[in-house]
Amino acid sequence: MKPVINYIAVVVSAVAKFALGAIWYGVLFGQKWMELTGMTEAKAAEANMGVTYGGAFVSYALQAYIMAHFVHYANAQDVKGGAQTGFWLWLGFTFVLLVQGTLFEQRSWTLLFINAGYELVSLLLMGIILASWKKKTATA
Amino acid sequence: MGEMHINYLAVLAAAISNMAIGFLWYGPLFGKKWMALSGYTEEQVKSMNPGPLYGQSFVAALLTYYILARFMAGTTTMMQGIETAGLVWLGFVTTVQFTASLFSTRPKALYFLDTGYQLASFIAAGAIIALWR
Repeated sequence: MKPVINYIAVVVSAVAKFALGAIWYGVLFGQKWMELTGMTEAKAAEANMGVTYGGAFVSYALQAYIMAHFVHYANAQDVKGGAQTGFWLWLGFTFVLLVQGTLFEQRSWTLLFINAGYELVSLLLMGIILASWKKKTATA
Repeated sequence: MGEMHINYLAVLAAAISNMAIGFLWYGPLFGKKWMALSGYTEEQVKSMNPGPLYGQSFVAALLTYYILARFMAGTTTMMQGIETAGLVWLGFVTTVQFTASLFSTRPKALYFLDTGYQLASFIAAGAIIALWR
């Protein structure tokens, strides 16, 4: 049974994650993140920002598209179901991945908190959007 | 997700396969490459306390494959298992590693090395959990 994908919800989810990223790594934890990663304004300016942000957006859109499948597998239909799906995906895959990276590369736990926190809030948000925004025709 | 049948032995086997692939991947296969790219030296690696590190990592892997098994409740064939595990890798593992790599100054080759390990582990786990019901 192939899931019905609401592409508008997928794009809106990716935009939401992108916007949250700007707030999270800007206003909220921008200073702390730069301090912990050793990233400086000068180093950041060397990178091609179009490629960096464009690449990030494409990967968020891919994530949202795949998440729409998992929302369907989990039969999540509402805000609660979407948030639960987002939580399990975060705990099982993203959080574990980030914890293992922190352990083996002996990186800062504060940095883990910032990065994993961002992933948690964005996956909850995307799960809620994808599960509760159903196409009217999807029920037919 | 409601009540479902989970074979805990298959979850355990998947976590063991993850550790085994890790020993090979970051050992004989790409150990030298990984050290060169990540900037670790033999001395630094030897000074790590491997017991707790592998213990914690194993517990984390058990959690991952338990949740994978829950999402795989509807799969019946090995190919479906690999497909679901591959989708998890694509949606929630490699995308996260990719954006982390974009926003860091670390070598891009390190991203390919790390994400290749994850892909191999997820394919193995998907196959094990699908076949061993």
